Amino acid sequence: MKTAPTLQTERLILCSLTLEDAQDIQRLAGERDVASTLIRIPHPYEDGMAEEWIRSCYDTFEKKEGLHFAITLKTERNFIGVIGLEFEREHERAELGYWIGKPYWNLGYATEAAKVVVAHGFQVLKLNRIYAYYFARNPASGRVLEKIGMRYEGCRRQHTKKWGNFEDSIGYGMLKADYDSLTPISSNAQREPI
Amino acid sequence: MRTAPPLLTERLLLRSFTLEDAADLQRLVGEFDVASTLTNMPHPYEDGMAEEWMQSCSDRYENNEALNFAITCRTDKHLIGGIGLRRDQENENAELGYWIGKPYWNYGYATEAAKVVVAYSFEVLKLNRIHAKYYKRNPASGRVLEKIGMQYEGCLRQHIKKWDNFEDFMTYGMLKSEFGEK
Repeated sequence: MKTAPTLQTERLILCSLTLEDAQDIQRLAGERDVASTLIRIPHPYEDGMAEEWIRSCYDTFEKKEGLHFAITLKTERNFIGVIGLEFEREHERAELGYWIGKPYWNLGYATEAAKVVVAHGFQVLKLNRIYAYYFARNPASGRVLEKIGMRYEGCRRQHTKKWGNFEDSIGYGMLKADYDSLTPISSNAQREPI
Repeated sequence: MRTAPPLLTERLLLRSFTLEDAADLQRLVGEFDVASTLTNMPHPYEDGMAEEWMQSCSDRYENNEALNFAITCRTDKHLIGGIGLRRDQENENAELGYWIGKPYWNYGYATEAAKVVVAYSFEVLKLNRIHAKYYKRNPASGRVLEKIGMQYEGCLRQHIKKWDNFEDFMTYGMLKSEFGEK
């Protein structure tokens, strides 16, 4: 059972989720400050929910509808968060989503993970477009998208009702052409999946 | 079968689709210039598709997932186009979509129909937000949204692959708090 291939960056290994990640997911995604930034996450995050979600990711991968990576530290192999792509194959595009456990915030891990996943999306999966949304009150997520070369595409005002509040949802996107213009050919080799 | 409640404007009656509309629907949305502006429209539009679509509209109306109105001429009753709302109940919003048969373009029918559907959304359905998208190459649709008071919210670049071309998707939105300002 898999949810993604393995990708490597300087400090991280992105790999398939396994049921052994369930405890870490429950602990890290259960934290209020993480859950409050995500659209579809149960809160409180109860026993069994992580296993159920991981199984749904197996299914998504099997049907080629998406990839979900465990983000782990290369050195200690700690589980620190999740990043994923959900495909709309008909339109050759995918939506990027991610979260990082609070003890690992502000170290650039989301940017590092997003960069390699986006490279995988364009180079290996041959997508035409990758896009992402975040809540306007969470600008740190927007900085990640800026840093990986995405462009602001608009704000869906009050689009999502989260815990009783209507949240503005900011959209960013990147085209294959944008990606190609950012990426010198010579650096492609190190971006290949291992 | 019901797909929407009746609504009246100066020149139009918006009402539920019925199986008797099937032939007109097939003829009007089957036209290339109409189909090319719509994302989920089969082309060519074959026999039986209209009936099947109406049945799905009826199911979605029952489940509070969507409303689909036939736009008809108030005086001589013929079918002019379609307008609908796809509801997202959890987020108290809906997406507006519409098409007008080519013989009826440039008479302001889309604006007239959209205005009354938006009013219904905020006043009767009590939605918080209405949004809509159109292909950038079809600016006439954007003018409808401007005229009914929607605000531009951005462009999703190459978001849709339509007939082998990647289309920029322009997005507009309107909040309950903005309704009635104009």
